[in-house]
Parts: sequence; C-alpha cells; structure tokens
Amino acid sequence: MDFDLLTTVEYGGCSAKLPASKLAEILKTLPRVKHPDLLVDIETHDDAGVYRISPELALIQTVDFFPPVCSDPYEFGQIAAANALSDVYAMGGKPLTAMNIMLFPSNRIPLEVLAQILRGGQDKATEADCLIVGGHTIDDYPPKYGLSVTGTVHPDRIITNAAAKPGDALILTKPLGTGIVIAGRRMEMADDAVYRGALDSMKLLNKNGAALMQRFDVRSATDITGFGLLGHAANMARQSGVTFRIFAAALPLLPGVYEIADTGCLPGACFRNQEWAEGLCCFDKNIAYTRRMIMFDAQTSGGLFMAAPRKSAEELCQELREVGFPASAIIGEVVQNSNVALEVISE
Amino acid sequence: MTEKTVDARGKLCPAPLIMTKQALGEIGMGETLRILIDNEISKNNVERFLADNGFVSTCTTESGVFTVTVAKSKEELGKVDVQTYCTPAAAKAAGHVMVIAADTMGTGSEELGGILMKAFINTIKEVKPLPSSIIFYNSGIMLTVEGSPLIATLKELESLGVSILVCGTCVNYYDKKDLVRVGIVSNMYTILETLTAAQTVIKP
Repeated sequence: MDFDLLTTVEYGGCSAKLPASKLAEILKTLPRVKHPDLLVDIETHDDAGVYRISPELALIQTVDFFPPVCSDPYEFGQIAAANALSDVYAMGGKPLTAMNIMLFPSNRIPLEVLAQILRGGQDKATEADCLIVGGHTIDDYPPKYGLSVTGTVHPDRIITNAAAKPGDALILTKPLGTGIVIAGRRMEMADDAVYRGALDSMKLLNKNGAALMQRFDVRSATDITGFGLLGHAANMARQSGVTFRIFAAALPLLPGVYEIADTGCLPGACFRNQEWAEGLCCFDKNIAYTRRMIMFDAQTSGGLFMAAPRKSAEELCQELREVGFPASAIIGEVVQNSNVALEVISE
Repeated sequence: MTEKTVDARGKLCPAPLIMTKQALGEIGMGETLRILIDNEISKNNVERFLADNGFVSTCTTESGVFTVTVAKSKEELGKVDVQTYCTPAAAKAAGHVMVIAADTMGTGSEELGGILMKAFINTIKEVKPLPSSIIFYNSGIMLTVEGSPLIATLKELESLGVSILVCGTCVNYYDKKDLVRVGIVSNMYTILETLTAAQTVIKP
C-alpha cells in the first residue's frame, strides 16, 4: 500500500485530545447513572462499564477510536483494534462482539486504504476471538478508526482500577514510549528498527496478560494509554485510596526512545498529561528530565498495569515474559496513603 | 553578548522543542537564544521545557509571532532545581496544614458562618504559599461531598498539589459514603501524621 496515513496527521498530536480536567468537570454536571446491576460506572473513571445480567455473567462495554498513528493502513487497523480490545482485558474479561467506527474522507484518500484499515481491524479482532458484527462510517478528515466492544466477565472476577492494596507489587507488561517514537518518526529521527519495535508493541493484544491476571488473582489493574503511565497510575492510586511508589530506574522503555526524547522530541500530549497529573506526583530530584517526560508520554495500545499480590509477583512477571510480554517488569509497589498519589523514586 | 535566533515558525510540533534544545547546546554560557514560534501550544511547551530544565525565559508577542528569549545560565540540561520537585519525605513535612472542622466559620450566626467558610475556601489559592494539605472532619466533610458548591475549587487546589484529606469516620457517620467528590477519604492515623509533621496548622 503506497498511501502514507501519517501524512494526514502532521498537525495531529497537539490538538487532538480534550484536557482531562475539563472533561471531568463536564461529566460531573451530567445526571449520575445508578443501577443495582451497574457494577462499574463512570465514577471511578475505569477502563470500561460493567453491567451484571445474571449472577454468573456481566457485560463489559467500551469504545475507542483515533486518527492514524502509523503509515500503513493495515497496521493502523490492527493497532486501533488492539487498543479498543485492551480495555476489556484490563477489566479481566474476554471480548465477545465489536462494531467498527470509521471516519473517512469520501474523496481525498483512495478507498482501498479504508478497506485495508478494516482488514487490519478484522484480523486483530479474530485473533481476540471477537466477532465484528457491523459498524458505522461517516465522511471526515483526517481518517479515524476504532471499535466499540462488548466483553464478558464473571461478576465476582472483575478487575477494577480501585482495589490496589498496600503491599501489592506494581507490574507493567509493555515498554513505554510509543507517543515519542511516533513523533520521532514524523521528525525522521526514528529509524526503521525503532519504529518497528513500537508498532509491534502496539499491535500486541493484552489477552494473555488478562488470563494470567485472573490465574494469579490480581484484583486491580488498568491499561496504559492516552494519559501516560503517571496519568493512569495516579488515577488507580487515588481510586484505590493508596499511594504508588514507582521505581523510575525499573521502567521498561522501547529501544531507542530515550535517545529520541533526549533531543527534545516530546509530543504535545506529554505536556498536557504533565499539566494535569504532576500535581498528584512527587518526584525524587535525581530523576532526569527526559525520563520524567517519558513517564508522561501518551501511549497507544499500551500494556497492562497491575497491582499483584507480593508473594506471587515475581512468578507472575516471569510467566508474562513467557507469553509474549518480554519487557514485563515490577516497576513499583503499593504503600499506605501518604497524601500523594504517586511517589516516583530514582532507584 | 551574542544572540542566536532560531526560527521555528511554520514548524510542526515537536520541532520547536528539538530546535530549542539543539540551539542551547550550541551556544556558549551567558549567550542569549531567541526562538520565534507561531503557535501558542508550541510556545507553551517550549516555555515549560525551559522552566523544567532550570532556565528563566521571557516572551513577547507581535503580530501572532511569539519570541521566547532565554539566556544560557547553565551547561547541563536535565538537572532540575531542588525546590521544584519534592522528595517523598519532604511532602509530609512541607509548610502549613489547614483544618476544616465544620462547614461554618466562627461562632454566632450559622448563615454567616456558611458564607464565611465558602469565602475562606475560595480565597485559599490567592495567598501563597498554598497549604500542603487541607483536612476535613465532622461537618467540614459536607464541603467535599456531592452538592457542595466548593468541589470545583477544591479540585483546582488538588491539581495545584494540595492534598485534600476527608475523614472516613465522619463520612460514614453522616452517611455520605460514595458521595465524596474530591480528595482522599482518610483515617485518624494519617490525619494525625499530617498534623504532627506540619510546621503550622491553620483552623478558620
């Protein structure tokens, strides 16, 4: 395929998203949705909504779509689908059905590009045993693609973002830096190997990670996406009423990302995330500026971030490495609430 | 004093940042760098980048073009001023702590007390330095639950680094569980820890 989707988003990064705090304020003005069977709702800003339909079955509902993050349409479809499906896995569930959400210009890009995007999404959904049952397309530029997904989980086995306990170990399953690498690619600073590393990481389904979480009885997790590691971690710490201690030196990073970030190649989303999340963080003064900004980097289709029982954390981490997440690492620990959501320390 | 100008007009994000960092590496100590930027978001990011790396910059605007001026005051980038970032231990001992023990301020008229407390909370952010924590207990917790007109203000303080602690026993007593809309629901141990570590405690 010759058409380079990245050309449609040269101005993309900085202006794409709405600031989290403004959005949260607006959401607070809406009538609160309550129901005895609504097990996880908007209040905890979790990865998905969960609704119980029987004592053994609950439905997970989530949606995600965005403009291109890579050049190849087929790969864009794969990544967008993996990203949307990830929220189901972050709740400890299995995807069931999904619908395509496609915004595509009617006369600026060859329609074969649309077909390739959908093909990528379909193949990824099939890999997740998820049935794409339909979708909706409207005319828009730049193109955007994603899925609305329905998944299932046992009501007693939901993994929420509000159940981390002091003593738990914090595990991250994928390396950080996809936003910086993609920006680096646009600036022609990321070579093929580095770019490929980021793409392969984004395409990876969090499916095996979710299965291991259930097996090891992890009760609290989230996936790392648009608000960066610190944004998502801070939310989880606050919802759980605890403090997370993050070991800056233990973070898995995508190969090549530090060098790119060190030149100043930091997407606007890093600064946006920094603005709203840094008030919730306390940093050791020894942590280098570049490393700090990587922690704020918005991720696409990032890894699972889980609070695992301490006793079995090493074993869980090892098994994660063996099922397709070789960068999995223990990157922190959960401690008693110490007035700050995140303590980022330099060891 | 030598001055170097970097023209980042028309450049796409994050090019202005990369150009700034590179130019800072090229000029000598004490020399001045001027960066021309034509969009506000990039300008904000460059200013933030410079501040976080310990530089003082100024900015002027003319006909839609921002000129950010900075002098190279240090050789190494990436080392941050100690004051800017606290260490976890310092977080507990920093500055003054406020205690909000009721949803009214002063004794006498209840109505006046409510008005005064609202004004007090709304004025906190105008006076620097900000408190490191604000503790709410007894009827004070009402200011943090669904329906309180002060939630947005308290959330703003939170985003500025002020810790909001809401007494859990009180929340349960007043049957406001799940209705706390800002801060962390805390316990007597943490509250005592916070008060003990504070240099000053202010109780309106």
